[in-house]
Amino acid sequence: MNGTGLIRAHDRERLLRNFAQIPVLVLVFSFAPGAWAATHGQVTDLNGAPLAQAMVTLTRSARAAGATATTVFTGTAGEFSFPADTPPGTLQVRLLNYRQIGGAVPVGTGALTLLMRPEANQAGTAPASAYLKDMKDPAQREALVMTCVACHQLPAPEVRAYAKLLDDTPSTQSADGRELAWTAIVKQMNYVSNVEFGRAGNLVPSGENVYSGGAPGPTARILTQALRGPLLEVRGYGYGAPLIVTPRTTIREFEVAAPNAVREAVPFKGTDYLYAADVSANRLIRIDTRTGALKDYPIPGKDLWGPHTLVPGADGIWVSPFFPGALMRFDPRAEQWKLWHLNQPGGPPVGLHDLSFDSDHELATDHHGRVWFSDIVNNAVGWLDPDTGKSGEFKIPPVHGRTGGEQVYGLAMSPDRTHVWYCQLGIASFGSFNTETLKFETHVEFASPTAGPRRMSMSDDGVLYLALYGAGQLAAYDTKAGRMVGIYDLPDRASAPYATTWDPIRKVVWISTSNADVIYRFDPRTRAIGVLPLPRERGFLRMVHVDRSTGDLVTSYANIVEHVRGPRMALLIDPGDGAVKVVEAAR
Amino acid sequence: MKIPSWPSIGVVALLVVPAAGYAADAGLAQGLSPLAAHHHCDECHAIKEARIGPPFVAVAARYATERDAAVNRLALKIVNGGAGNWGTIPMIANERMSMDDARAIARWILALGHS
Repeated sequence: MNGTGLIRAHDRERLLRNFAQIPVLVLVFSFAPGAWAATHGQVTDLNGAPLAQAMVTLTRSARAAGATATTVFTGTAGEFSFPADTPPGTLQVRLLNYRQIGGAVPVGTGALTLLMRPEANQAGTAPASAYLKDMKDPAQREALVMTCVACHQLPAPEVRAYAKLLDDTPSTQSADGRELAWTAIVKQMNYVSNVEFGRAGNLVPSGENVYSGGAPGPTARILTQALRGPLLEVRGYGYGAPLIVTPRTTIREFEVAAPNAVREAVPFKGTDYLYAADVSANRLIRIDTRTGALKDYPIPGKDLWGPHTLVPGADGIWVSPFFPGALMRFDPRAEQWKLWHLNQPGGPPVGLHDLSFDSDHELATDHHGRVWFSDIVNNAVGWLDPDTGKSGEFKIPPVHGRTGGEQVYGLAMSPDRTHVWYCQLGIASFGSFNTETLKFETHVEFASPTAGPRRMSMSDDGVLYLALYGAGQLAAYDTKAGRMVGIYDLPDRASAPYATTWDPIRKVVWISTSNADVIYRFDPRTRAIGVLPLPRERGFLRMVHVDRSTGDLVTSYANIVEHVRGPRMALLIDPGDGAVKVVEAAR
Repeated sequence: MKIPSWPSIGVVALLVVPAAGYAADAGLAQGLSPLAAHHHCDECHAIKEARIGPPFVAVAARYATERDAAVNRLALKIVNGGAGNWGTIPMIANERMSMDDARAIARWILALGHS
């Protein structure tokens, strides 16, 4: 063995046999005959048994071009291979219940063998949601997810560090002491939220408003019960459904350097670019997926908007900003912005969240050319005629027994473009609005008022899919028949499913999560759920978009607040199922 | 552009927005030193009112007699956290903060006792 921890191939077996006598083994490197264009190798355990479906991540060196990191998965023989265009860098492996021996290793030109050792403590490989798996009361779990995970994963590493602090501190050994301490931290979070929300207006919370996020007590009580002990370990977590990855699955991650806050990322057809919304500033960022090069496109003018939700359209990328009052469109070809002001004189601010899109996840107008949107501030559905600049909106009727805090959120358009469907996050309901008669029609409530429907999508045959953030479920509603097809438990009920995306190529639903570092795939034909694990902690995901030309998935790690650490990246994912080729062959 | 305030934080916690620079402005506007604002000390402390932690003027008063010796003591507490001096709730560690920054913030806190 040389000083860098590399060994020759013939030494490998001897080393494995004698492993118990070796205190630290950094890495095993073996050179196979033959020339390989791409980095490849095998992942095994200490006995040499191959480990399948392990994530092998190549992080490119600082001077190289391309994706910040590229991840592939091992096959049944533990084998892995990176695409030929993968830049040089270092390798790391992640696999639940295992830990890589040694740290990141530089890639070489030959075949690599990467060793893993079993580790029952899953801290570091299991997602944040794993720490909530033993919560007995679904209502408490829903409350925590709805309250805390709206802004950050729970328990994020900082939360776990706080739990450790409470475990170490004599004055917080009692339940009362811990609850007091958790109350303080909930107040702190409320304060941070208040500051962040007010950054373009009422900047400084003061007096009673300083900790105005509602009574912290209920949340603190649940935290006291749910997060016991130092949280240094988590055991027994499983994905709960089969992984759908193959040796052809590739995840490319593109970091946008700080200061930034990537909120959403989308492809734009016919190009190799992704476009990311930087909600911390006033710009879109174009990412060249071939080189990793970035280019800024600031919104002209002095107003602070904070691009937030992105919906590609035939004529550009439509953008709803975080700060109320406008809808905008960016033309990637001409590299030009167009902005429509929406606030009416003397009227309330119009706070957009989602825009009307079709089953291809492209912006869809009604038969009169109107773009529709959800207005979260006024709990209304609104419209804009881009040709005339006229706009208006319709307040959603109150729901008996669930008034206050409705928060209209997701929006999707029916295939015949006569209805927009909306959901109300705060009161767990959804409904439809007829864009011809301008009347509200269907209304449906979920049993639990904290089920938390967030962003949704509609299939090309009119089935509406809703991600139930609080409940950890997927709901399917047949809008043509007017009936609930089913409500399906996701494998991890604390995963905080954020959005559904109908995949028009595969005819499946992708469900992005905020708290579980996975994307779920739901097949309506079999009702089977599969898991696409992500290679990074704190994969606080936003919506998934499907590139029609390649079948690739595009999404983002959307860690939002300055105080929330974690990756801010756009992701380009080839699920490795060859879906586009299959579809093309069938044509 | 003047942006109206959101209805309430409890209602709209779903859309929290980030922004390097903006959050620190809140601390500045409350009279914190630029460094204290940069490190978000205002999340738990204010100058004259008790929040999660004690007001800075109370800290300055408690350590007034220790003069320069208090600088290091406070700086260590800022970086490593602590518990016991001000009630039940422990102070979180700020391990990413340099000791130089912590000392500068400690000097600023102690100087509040002279103003």
